[in-house]
Amino acid sequence: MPQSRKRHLLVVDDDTLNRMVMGKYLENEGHQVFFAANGCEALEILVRQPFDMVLLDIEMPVMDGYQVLEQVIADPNLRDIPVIVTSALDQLDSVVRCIEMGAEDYLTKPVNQVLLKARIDASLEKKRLRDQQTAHLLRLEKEMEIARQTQLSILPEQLPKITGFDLGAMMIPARAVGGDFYDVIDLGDQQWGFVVGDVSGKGLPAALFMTLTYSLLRAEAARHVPPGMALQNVNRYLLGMNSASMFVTVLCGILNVKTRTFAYARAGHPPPLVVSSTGQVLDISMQSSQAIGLFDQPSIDEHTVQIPDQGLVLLFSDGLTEAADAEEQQFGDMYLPHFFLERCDHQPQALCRQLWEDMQRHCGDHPQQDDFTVVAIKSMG
Amino acid sequence: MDTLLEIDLNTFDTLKRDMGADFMLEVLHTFCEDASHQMQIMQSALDQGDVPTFTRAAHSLKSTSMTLGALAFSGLVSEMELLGRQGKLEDSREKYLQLQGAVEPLQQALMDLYHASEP
Repeated sequence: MPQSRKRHLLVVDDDTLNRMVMGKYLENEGHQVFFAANGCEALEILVRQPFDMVLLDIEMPVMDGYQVLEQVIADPNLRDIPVIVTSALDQLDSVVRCIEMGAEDYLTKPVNQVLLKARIDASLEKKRLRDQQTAHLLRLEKEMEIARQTQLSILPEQLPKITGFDLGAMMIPARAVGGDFYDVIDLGDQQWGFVVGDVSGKGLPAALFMTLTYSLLRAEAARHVPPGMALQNVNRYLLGMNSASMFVTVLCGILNVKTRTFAYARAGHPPPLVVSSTGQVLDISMQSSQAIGLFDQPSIDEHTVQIPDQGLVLLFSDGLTEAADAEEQQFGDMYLPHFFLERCDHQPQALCRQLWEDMQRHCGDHPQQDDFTVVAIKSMG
Repeated sequence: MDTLLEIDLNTFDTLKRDMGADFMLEVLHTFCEDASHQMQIMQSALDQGDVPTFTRAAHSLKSTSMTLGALAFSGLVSEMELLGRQGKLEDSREKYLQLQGAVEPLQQALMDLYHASEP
């Protein structure tokens, strides 16, 4: 494997002669060689400059090879440097111990130049591949962070002020980027569009499909298309661009400030919760519906609900209701019907925060499996 | 005694070829200095019953002499290192005397071999 630059190798050995011989072998192979006569010196040199490899004698005064290896492995800045231990042939137990501690390989003394070259080249190549992998992961993480920021930036930066109503909203993706989204759109004439969606899957593919769906719904809202028809239109567009067979459940509705009604259309998405001023969850009728992105004519469930005075409408994704603890008990089944009874006086944003905290408490150590999205519309009248 | 002065020619010549003649001479001088130094340390450690110091010096001399091809000499030091590890310092006194008698002749033999094989 041709190397573009001289590799920096550190030879740690208390014997001058061993350092000389090893150093000469390595220089013959085109490496730049540095020396340390004991473990302490080695660690001092290692923190001062980057190295591609350490050749480490085990038995040394002041600080032996085991102690050096232990500290190298424990240090996040050093642990990726391959360490080859060098030892006498009768010290194989020590070699085994070093390999178990994390040494890359070993060489017996006196060192054979051919073997030395083979072991070093192999270890340097492994390091090169590991470095490449680390750089690739860092680049991916950076790109994911940009994607996360981009996705968060399309969510409403601030919720609008709506006369007679107070709003709250929260979206916490399960991964860096998610497939959930929500939107609040001013439709004019004291009407406001609300959207909550949940794309199948998670991560980057879901996030891309989510931004596509979001844009299409925005375009429909700009044309003042009623919710049910908007979902059918978006479904048609998605079918034409959905080679990955993804789908999205959506609830979109129109809040009419004058009539205090919420008229919604639902495509495979959980229905809204309508809560009275005393915290009772009211029954609403519903029909089956299907997600969009899969079928030519998905069934859409459409209803209009009257928002009770001082009551609220809660829109959410299944990341709230299906969040489960270690025993697979779902948060929605256990807590949601009673959640509002003691919290009917909460402001909507505080309510959203409380739902998130209660849900986390319910799940305990069980990691968040799905994106969490809630939008609360509270009547102040 | 003569056995202790035997040098493995293949090891010596390969090392000289790999190191280059000038650097090999530096290596030999280093060995001569170091061997005398390690012998002094071993002597002192024997007198004081200092097992770790004796063992470490033996370990070092074993390694450097083997590198130059002094395999029998290295083998004897290896036995002393083992005795040190077992804490049997007194048992290595006799071997030490053998070694002491062989160090200078070995240093000379190595230098002679170096010059004999000079191009």
